[in-house]
Amino acid sequence: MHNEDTWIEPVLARHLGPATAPEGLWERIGEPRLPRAAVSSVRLAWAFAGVLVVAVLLWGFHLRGEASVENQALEFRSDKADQIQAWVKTNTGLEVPLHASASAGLIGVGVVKNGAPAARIVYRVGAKDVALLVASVGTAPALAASTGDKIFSWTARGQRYTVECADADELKMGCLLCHAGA
Amino acid sequence: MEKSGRFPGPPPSYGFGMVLDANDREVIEACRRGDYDAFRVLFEAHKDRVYSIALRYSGDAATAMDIAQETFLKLLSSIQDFRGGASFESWLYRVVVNACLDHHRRGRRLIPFFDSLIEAVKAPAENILNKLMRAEEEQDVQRMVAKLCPEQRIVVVLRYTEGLSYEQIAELVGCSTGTVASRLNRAHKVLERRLSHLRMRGGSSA
Repeated sequence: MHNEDTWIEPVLARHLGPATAPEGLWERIGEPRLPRAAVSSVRLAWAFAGVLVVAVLLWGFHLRGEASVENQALEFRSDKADQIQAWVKTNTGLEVPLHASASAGLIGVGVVKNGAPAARIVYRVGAKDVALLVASVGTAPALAASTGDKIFSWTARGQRYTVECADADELKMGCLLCHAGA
Repeated sequence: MEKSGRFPGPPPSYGFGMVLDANDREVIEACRRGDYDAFRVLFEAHKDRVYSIALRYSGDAATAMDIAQETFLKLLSSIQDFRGGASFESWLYRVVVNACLDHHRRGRRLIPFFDSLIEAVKAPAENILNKLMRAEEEQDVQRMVAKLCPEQRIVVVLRYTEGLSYEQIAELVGCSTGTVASRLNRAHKVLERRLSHLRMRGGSSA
């Protein structure tokens, strides 16, 4: 007869006693394989790592779309069209007609040295940066081929103009560079 | 400790087998040198204890195998950290207890185990009814213990599977003996309620 208050104790003692380890345990130690839960964790970790890599790549592409245009060194920063125009003339010999635009703000300019120097003028259109590459007609194809971004090119007055954007949908923003009212 | 669920702290200074005999010390030293045969000796000496704790804590033989495997792999990989002056026994307990809690924390669903039922069916026809009843009772007990919260469950297992004293459990768990007593008491109340049908039956004796 168990004590009124402690009847559970002998029951626990009887059923929670020591057990004998199965024979197969040493094989699992000697030839370690990951426990099932650990395998699950490892799979989860790999899945997480995979998702992380994809996310980083996507984010990288996104940033590249936004930043690649700008991150290429700007040698002169200004939001004044006449200052940019003068700097381009001095450093590349190119005459680039720039128009003031409420939709596309100038950020700065750099020189691309790929054969004959070309000007790379960077605008901010909305939240995106757009680059306008200007080169003499003879050097323009090489410039276009060197970029990884979406491009749209045209020729005017003996110069090749190339708009460089992160993706095709944004090319229309390039129109704002010359057509401020567009 | 309560929040983290792990049992930290320095090796216990009393309560367990404090002094390793020369043979034990030699085996552990050999393990620390990377002697795999010595590790086998250590494994053979402690496998039942580790497995018992894992089984009674998890309530599932397959999960217990996982926990035991993790425990020995942990021992193998961290035996270098074991300081000879400390109690190996308490260190072993700590590793297996943490393996139990880690397994629980990983969200592993603990399921009732039916091994005892299978064993009972395999038994000779003689006494088969008693064996089945006992197996059923054991299954009930194990299932209800597995439903206790981790803090209560580990105390119950250390108490009833290992027969540790309140002081030893308190040292392992990192709490006061009063807390151990309180957790055990609460666990008893819960189990008495959930296993009340066993009391009516009087419990099938061995």
